Amino acid sequence: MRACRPSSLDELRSVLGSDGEALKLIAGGTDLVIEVRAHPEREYSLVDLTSIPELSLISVEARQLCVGATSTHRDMETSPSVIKHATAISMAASSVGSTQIRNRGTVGGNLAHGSAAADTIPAMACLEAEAVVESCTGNQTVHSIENFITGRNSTVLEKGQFISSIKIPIREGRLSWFAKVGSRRAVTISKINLAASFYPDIPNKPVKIYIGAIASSPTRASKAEEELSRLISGSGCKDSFLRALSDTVADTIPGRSSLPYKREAIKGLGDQLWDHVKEVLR
Amino acid sequence: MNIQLTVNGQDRTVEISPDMRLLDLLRDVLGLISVKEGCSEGECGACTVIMDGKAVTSCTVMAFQAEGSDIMTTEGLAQRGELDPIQQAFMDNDAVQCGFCTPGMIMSTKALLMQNPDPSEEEARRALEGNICRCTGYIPIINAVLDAARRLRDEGL
Ligand code: FES
Ligand code: FES
Repeated sequence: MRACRPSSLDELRSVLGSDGEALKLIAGGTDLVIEVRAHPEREYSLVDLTSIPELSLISVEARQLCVGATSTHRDMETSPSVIKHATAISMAASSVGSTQIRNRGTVGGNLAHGSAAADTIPAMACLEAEAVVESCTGNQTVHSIENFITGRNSTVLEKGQFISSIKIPIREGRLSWFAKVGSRRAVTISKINLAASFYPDIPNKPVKIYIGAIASSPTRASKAEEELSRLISGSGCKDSFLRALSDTVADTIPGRSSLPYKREAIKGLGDQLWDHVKEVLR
Repeated sequence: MNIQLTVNGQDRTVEISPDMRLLDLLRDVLGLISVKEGCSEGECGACTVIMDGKAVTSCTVMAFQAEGSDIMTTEGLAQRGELDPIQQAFMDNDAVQCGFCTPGMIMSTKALLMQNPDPSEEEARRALEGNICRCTGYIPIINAVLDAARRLRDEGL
């Protein structure tokens, strides 16, 4: 095994340019260290990203919230800008039930690992966040969060590329929310989670709802979005809303053994979301 | 490869191999055996140490990533032969049975109290959520955390 710790983006680019194929990027290590140890036969060449200060900045620029890829769950939980402009992300980050994992696990790591159960991903999706991906030549591409994960633990990332930041548009009057049902008191990777953004004071603006941890990417719940929009315009029916969520789960994982549980669990989360929005509207 | 870091207040230069975890560095290279290995997957908290002021599971950090960092383990707590108030509070509240989880619990407590000297019971529970105890049922541990906070505040007066 080999290991290196670039101290700047320039140094990272030159490392990636010289030896792109065999390299594996590491940040918090909460997933990767376990993977590395499970495969002693593989020849890993690890490149640490936590030594690059530019990658962990959180800033607001030109109506965008920019969250550096190695920002930790703790950073997102406590950053006033994230709490204000991307509430769902800070709620998702704080829902990770182990202080130690919140202190190390990063937003970019969640994405790069392509873990369907990562809490922050549906939260980013509901805020129309995009991941900025850079290559060793400095070439930048931007990918929607919704399409970033392409399958079980696979993503759009190619060798020699890295995620530099997540950009979240700041929209006037938009609020967001997140909740999950976990598997265990503490470390709880989600069994199912729900994230939403909405404009309580602007009835015709789009509501966005994503269900996480049922497919490899967050699943959009369009029917439920329509019902929640109706609530914001002054009507709307909670039962229809919950049924719509439950149907989306059933359509996404037909025949899966976890379906009976998940289609009920999503109603519990939907119930919380509906009541939350009602409370905000009051 | 060689890395430099601070461990329990002392500057160290340590020879490591790239495949070592921080846990291996602390236990096997530096002999700090308060750091326990339970699950090896970041789930149990037995290997918890404080890295740059924050509790981390040392089984999920690679040793080379600790270059330049400031690490604290339970060995660094007792001063001049006297137990740290957190250690004493754990003993006095019967928060130790087999003791395997204890160093990790104590480091999570230390990290909490460094940031929040007066935690609520809820905050104490949350700070220790990543630490598993198979023996005590947690109640004495949470009591110990709150008691330690009280002792440290009294000391500070
Ligand atoms: S041994 Fe590190 S968390 Fe269990
Ligand atoms: S005292 Fe035995 S595991 Fe906690």
